[in-house]
Order: sequence, then C-alpha cells, then structure tokens
Amino acid sequence: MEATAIILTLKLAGLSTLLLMLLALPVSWGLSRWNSPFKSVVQAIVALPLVLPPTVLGFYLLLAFAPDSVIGSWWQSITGERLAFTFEALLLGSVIYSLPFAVQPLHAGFTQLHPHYLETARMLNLPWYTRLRVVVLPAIKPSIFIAAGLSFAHTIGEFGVVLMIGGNIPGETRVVSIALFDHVESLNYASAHMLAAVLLVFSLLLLIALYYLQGKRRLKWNVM
Amino acid sequence: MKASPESLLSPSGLVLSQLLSEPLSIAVAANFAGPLNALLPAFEQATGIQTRVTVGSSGALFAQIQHGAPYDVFLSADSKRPQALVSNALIPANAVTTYAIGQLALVGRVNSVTDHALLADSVRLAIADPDLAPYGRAARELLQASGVWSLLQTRLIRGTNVQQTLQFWQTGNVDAALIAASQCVTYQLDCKPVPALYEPVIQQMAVIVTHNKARTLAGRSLARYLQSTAVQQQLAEMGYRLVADAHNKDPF
Repeated sequence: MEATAIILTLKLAGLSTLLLMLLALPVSWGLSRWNSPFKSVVQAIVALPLVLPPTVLGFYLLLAFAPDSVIGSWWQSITGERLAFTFEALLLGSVIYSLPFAVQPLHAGFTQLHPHYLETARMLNLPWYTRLRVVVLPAIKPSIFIAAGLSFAHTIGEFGVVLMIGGNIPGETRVVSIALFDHVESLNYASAHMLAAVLLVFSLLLLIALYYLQGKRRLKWNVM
Repeated sequence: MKASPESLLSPSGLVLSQLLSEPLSIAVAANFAGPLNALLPAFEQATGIQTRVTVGSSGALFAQIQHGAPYDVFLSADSKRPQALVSNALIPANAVTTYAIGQLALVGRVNSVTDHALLADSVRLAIADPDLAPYGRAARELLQASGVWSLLQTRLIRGTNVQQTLQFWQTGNVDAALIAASQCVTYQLDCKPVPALYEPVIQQMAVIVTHNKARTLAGRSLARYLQSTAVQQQLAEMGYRLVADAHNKDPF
C-alpha cells in the first residue's frame, strides 16, 4: 500500500516536472525578453500559487473539473471520461501549483544570460534551434536543474490541492502526503511516522543537492 | 432525561455560567456541526453558558485533544475516538456518552445502491473513506451486504469525511453519494433512504475533564441537554435515530 503511494507520488512529481520544463522554458524566456506594463500582471499570475492557500486552487479546480464546466466538458468530449478524481486531474493541478517554482529560477537564469553570447551566436548565423541547443541551454543549465528540482520537491509536498480534487483512489490519486494524512486520521501513528520520515529525509536530501548546485553555480559565475 | 433547571446549577448553587470566564469550547465532527448550531441557542438561553464551536474531522480533533488542545467537549462522529481518550487515561469512562445515532442516505441520480445505473462503468459513486470516517465504514458495510462492493470498490470516490463526500456530489463531480441522513435535512436534499444493512453509526461525545470543575460541569450539562427527550426528538427530525432505541437493540 505504501509502495503504491510512493510510486504514484514519484510518477506525479516526475511527469509534472517534465511538463513544467516544457511549459516554463518558453514562458520564462518570453518573460525575460518582454518589456511591457503587463509583464508585472503576468508575473503576478505565475507567482499566485506561492501565496494562495492551496485550498483556493483546489476549490476552483474542483469547480472547473465538473462535467458541466468548460474544462470538464471539453475533457469529457475528448476522452469520454470525467476529469475530476483522475491522475490527469492531479497532474494538471500540480503543474499549476508548482509553476512559480519552475518559472522563477529559469527567469532569473535567462535574465542573467549575458547578451554577448546571443549576439555572437547570431553573428555566426546559427539557426535559432542551434543557438538554443549550443548557447542558451548550456548557459542556463544550473537554473534548469534548480527549476526542475524545486518543481519536483514542491509537487511531492503537495497536499491541500490533492486533498480537495483527488478523491483518495489508491494507485490513481492517493499520493504519499494523503496516505500519511489517512494514517494520522485513523490513529495509525506508527505508519504515519514511517511515511513522514521518508518524506522528510527525501526532501532534505533533494534540497541539499539543490543548494549545493546553487553554491557551485555562483562560484562558476564568479570565475567567469 | 430532561434538562431541569436544577441540573444546570453547580453544587454550591451558583449558576454555572457565572463561574466560566470563557465560553465553553466545543469540538464537533463535521456531520454534526449543522444540527449543533441549531441546538445551541436553546442551550445557551437555558443555562446562560456561552459556547464556542470548532468544526473538524473526528480524527484531527482527537489528535488535537490528545496533545492538549483546550476543548471542553468533543462531539465525535464515532465511538472509537472518545473511547480511545478513555483507554489513554485522558478522561474517566463516565465522561463518554452517546448523543446521536447516525444513519446513511443516498443522494443522486440513482434509486438504490443496487440500481442498474450504478453498475455502468462511467457512473461514479462517492462514499466517505471507510478507513477514516464512520459513515464510510457504514457505507462499505452497506455495499458489501448489498453484494456490490467488489464491483464498485475500484471506482468509488472516497471523501475524507462525509462532508467532503457530499461536496463531491454538490459540485457535480460524482453521480451519487452515500452521505449522512442528517445532511439531507440540513441541506434540504432530495435523498433516498437505504436499507439498514450496516452497524449504526454510534456518535459519542466526551467531556474533557480537567481541574477546572466549572468547565467540566458545563460540559456535562451540555451532554445532558443533548440526551434530553426534547433534543432527541429534534435529532430524530434531523435524520438521526433515537439514542434510546439503539440502546434497546444494541448492548453497546
């Protein structure tokens, strides 16, 4: 039972991180090259999950996933199934929930990217995808690692949103944080201790690795 | 048992309410929050005791009490948790009493739990989590006794408590839900009764006995008030079974 929850959590965090990287890379790049009064509006929207209680997001998602809502009915017309209480619903919720953790490090990375690199690459007449592959991505590699690591860690720590839109289905939506909550609620403190310790140690190790990476990155920038 | 004016006085004859510096703090399981709100004004008026209500799941409230949360009375959705307070030696056994017997009801697009519509793959039924919530335990027993548990088990949607179970239905995310009959009354829902193929949900309360005698007495007067014939009649109208009935049938 615990193994199912742990595997599901890793799958959710892994897929969320993958989707977030695909989404956050272009968004952060665009944000770093955009100058408009509306930029602060977009930045604020991206940062909302940082400050809102997860219950706000969970509540709106619950309403949005209902079969008579726009998103819910669209999903049903495509897949023939309902969205709420599915793994896909959790994935969508996690992507929104962890978006700022992916965008902010990447945005910082793109902002710090020295224009000389790009100008040189452009003068060499490299096509945009080659410039991306050989210049931009290698230069911001540490930011990508940090963005991915934080997204992964934050999704593993997700609780309020899952509690509201998950429906607690083993193997589908019952992630570790929910399993832990169930143990506490059913007075099963021994299992709760075990899962809590696993989460604590795992998250701590992940964060140590990220901070180590960040420290190394600063060193690198300084050397250059 | 009727709450007489004498029983609401402390032994010294002083009115209890004058001995309480702060309102009586009541922790209540979500399913009883609505009925309690309807019942408290009459209690406050009769006794002069002010109350303050905290709503939560029985499990969360229990954990808080175990760690010293300052509640005077704990109205649980089950009997397991008040009894656990006794076996953990936090309160004496006589501080626990039964105040209500809950029953299940069905809300949604189906007529019964064996309705053919429920057997379709795409149709979704929500119950409270059987491992957490007493109404979920009752729902599992009902579905097992009706012979549909193994069929529905994998696609049941489980709410943390019976309140969230209803919320899943109200937001349109499930087709039907097994909820507490009391919720049907509180929220004026069009519910269907279900056969009593499950152990009744025995809801017990615990008076958290501390060195503060006035608070303990005030808690006990709330217990007596909830068990009074007048309140039990009201609870019957709110979807609960009479405590006296269950005690006759059940040696519990």
